[in-house]
Amino acid sequence: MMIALLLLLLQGGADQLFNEATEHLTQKRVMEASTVLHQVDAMDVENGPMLINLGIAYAQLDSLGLAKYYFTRAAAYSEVSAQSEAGLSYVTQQLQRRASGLPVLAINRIQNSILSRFDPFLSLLIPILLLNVGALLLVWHFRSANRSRKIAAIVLLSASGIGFLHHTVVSVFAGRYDLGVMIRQEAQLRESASPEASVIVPVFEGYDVRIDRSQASEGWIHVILINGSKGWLPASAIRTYPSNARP
Amino acid sequence: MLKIGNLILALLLVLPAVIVAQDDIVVTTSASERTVRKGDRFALSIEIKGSNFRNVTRPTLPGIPGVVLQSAQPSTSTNYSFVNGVASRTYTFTYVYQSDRVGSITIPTFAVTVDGREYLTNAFTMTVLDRDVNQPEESAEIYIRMEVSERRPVVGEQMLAELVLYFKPTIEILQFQIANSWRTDGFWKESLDDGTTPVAENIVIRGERYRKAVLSKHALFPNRSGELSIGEQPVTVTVRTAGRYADPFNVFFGNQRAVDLSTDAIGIRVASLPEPETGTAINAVGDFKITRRISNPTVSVGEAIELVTEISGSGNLALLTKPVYELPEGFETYQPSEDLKLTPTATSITGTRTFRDVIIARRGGTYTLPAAELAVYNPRRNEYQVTTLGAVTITVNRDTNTPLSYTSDTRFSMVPVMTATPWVTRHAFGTWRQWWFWLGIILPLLLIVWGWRDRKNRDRLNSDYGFFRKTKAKERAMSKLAVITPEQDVKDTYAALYSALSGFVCDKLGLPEAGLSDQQLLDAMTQAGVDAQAVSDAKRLFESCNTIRFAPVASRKDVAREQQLVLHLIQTISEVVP
Repeated sequence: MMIALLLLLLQGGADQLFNEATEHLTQKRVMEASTVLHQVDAMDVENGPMLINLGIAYAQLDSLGLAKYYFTRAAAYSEVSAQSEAGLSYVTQQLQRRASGLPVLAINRIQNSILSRFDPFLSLLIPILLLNVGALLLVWHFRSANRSRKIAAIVLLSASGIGFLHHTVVSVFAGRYDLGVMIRQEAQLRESASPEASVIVPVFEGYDVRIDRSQASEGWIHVILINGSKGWLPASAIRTYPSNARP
Repeated sequence: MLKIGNLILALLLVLPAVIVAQDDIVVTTSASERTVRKGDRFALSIEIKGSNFRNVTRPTLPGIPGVVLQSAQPSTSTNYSFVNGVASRTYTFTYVYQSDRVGSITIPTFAVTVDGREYLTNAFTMTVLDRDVNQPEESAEIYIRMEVSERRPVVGEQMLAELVLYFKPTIEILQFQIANSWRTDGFWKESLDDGTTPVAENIVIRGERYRKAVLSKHALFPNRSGELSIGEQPVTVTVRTAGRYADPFNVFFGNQRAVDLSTDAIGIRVASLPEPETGTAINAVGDFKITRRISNPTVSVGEAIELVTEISGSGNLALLTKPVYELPEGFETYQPSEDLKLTPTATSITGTRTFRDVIIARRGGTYTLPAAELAVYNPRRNEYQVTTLGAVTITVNRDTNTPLSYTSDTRFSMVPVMTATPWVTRHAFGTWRQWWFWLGIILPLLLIVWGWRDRKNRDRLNSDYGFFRKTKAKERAMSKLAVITPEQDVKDTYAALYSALSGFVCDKLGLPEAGLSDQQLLDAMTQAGVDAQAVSDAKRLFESCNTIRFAPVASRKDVAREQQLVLHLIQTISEVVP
């Protein structure tokens, strides 16, 4: 009861802040709007309109990396998918004018696709369902032996095992990596986590990166660009997508 | 008289021949080779030759210093010959020895018993050489050499190393086994064998006829300068030597044995490559053709261009270093790749090495990759040959896909979303925290275990009658009690009670279904751990049942009490014997 009440109060506060931010945005007070929306963000709640409006605010501030970040996150909400698509289209065009994109290494495309499409709930639910149906068929076979039931049970249990294996492998992979976007206009990808380290390649705003969480250094993150280049970027230059809103 | 004289004359002529025939046994020993190397095997043959001997006792060999007997069981052979009307037989024992000491070995005299009489063999000496000492080839029956095409190469120069077997025409090579222990440290080694069986050819060495066969071929490329060594190459050859007598039997009964051979180590002095006067050295030594090309001379900004350098020909392809080119400003390089295809020929390695650089232009314009000179050392001419790769022009266009759309798209026309939808609290999805995950996993597993145990139980009930009786004991007893009705005759009721209890005890305790006395049933109950009170009750019940059959004086109340007692006993025994 108390929790429900707190949640209601929280949501009421978020609604109020959202309306305030929308008013600022309509009046072209973009900085104020983004500040208020970040207050909502800090409450650990979100919805599609809030993310879209943050994207719009940053697009108007010409901070295209952050605009891309929020429009991409908004894509997880079906009610604003059209706005998300329009925002991303605009941002992508603007980014292409500033710097050419990177050639995509096929293996990186596959790995990023695994990270963005991986649904831990569904990938776990399916093998559990297969396991249960397979177990019922097997018990049925135990009680009245039947060859076709036995084969079906073995097939389902094997498929369930493969499903669990797939979930485990991808979970381990997804646990190691995050996806992120470059939000500064330019930064240097360096060979080690130091501003004095030799530069591998310049990285421009809006570049998608894969973040390797297994390697960490204070103020630096280890990233893999979509062309396969690996190196270190300042942590402040990258914004990481949450696991439920990967591009 | 004359006839008697002729007979005497004939006897005089024949008698010496008979005497000679008894004493013509000759025993000789010989070795397959008189000069061997340390570790080589050789055959020691003891021949007994004579025209008329019957029993030959296997000789007892004395210990011979410097050699080791490989098998105490000799091989034996018999040869028959008929020359000038005289028949003779040769019986041979053959022992295999291995030399284990360098120097002179004396095969001593020893006795061989033939038809109960002892004959002494001849003594002789053999020479055992060290492996490092060159064996006098003209005297060897079989030997092997590693023949190297070049002993003073430069770093990277291709050398041909052939493993050549020389053997006398009297030797037949049955098979050979090349050991894998050949050491070629400091060399890149490529086999040139094409899988075909070596073919022997006739040659004459120092006036003697030999046969020569190339067992294997390798291309060697020294990868550092200085004194290098090509190691010894051991080879085991199985040979068959023709017999001493050129008769048809020897083809089949010749002496077959395994011979361990080894090449000598060879020192190679490798010179450093000189610096080229012009061009860039890429560590190439040989005869190469070098080309350079780009995948597409006209590209868009950001589009990848492949810069391919192809080096083909004969030489040290695997040891080449990637050529480094000067790129115009504005180009970035990405992850070069390499490819090596080798084609062994009879005497050398040829092939193609391909280097692929991926370069990307970051700005539009026309660029020129400057010409490059690559130097290849030709060991035949002892000089560098320089190949000039022409300049390459690349035209980089700006992205032509979306140039006109910028004007209209630059206007940002999105309007804010005014209505808030329900708020979502962010939370991480943790597999192990989901209750349905554990339920979904554990429940089916428990179900499978239960189903499996149930099936096992039912299978046992069907196949194991004792188990069936024990499991169904209570059920069967209860079914017997269920038929008892208040209207039933007291005798029949007691009979049913007796049957239910005794049957239950027999089923539960695994006793025969019939033929046991009451006392035996009670004893079995006691042994099974049923408490004394229950045993006593059962005894009293059995006695009542037996008595009542003959004197039915019990009232209905008694019957009901006895029925309750039977139920109580069944329950008690069930608890003790589950």
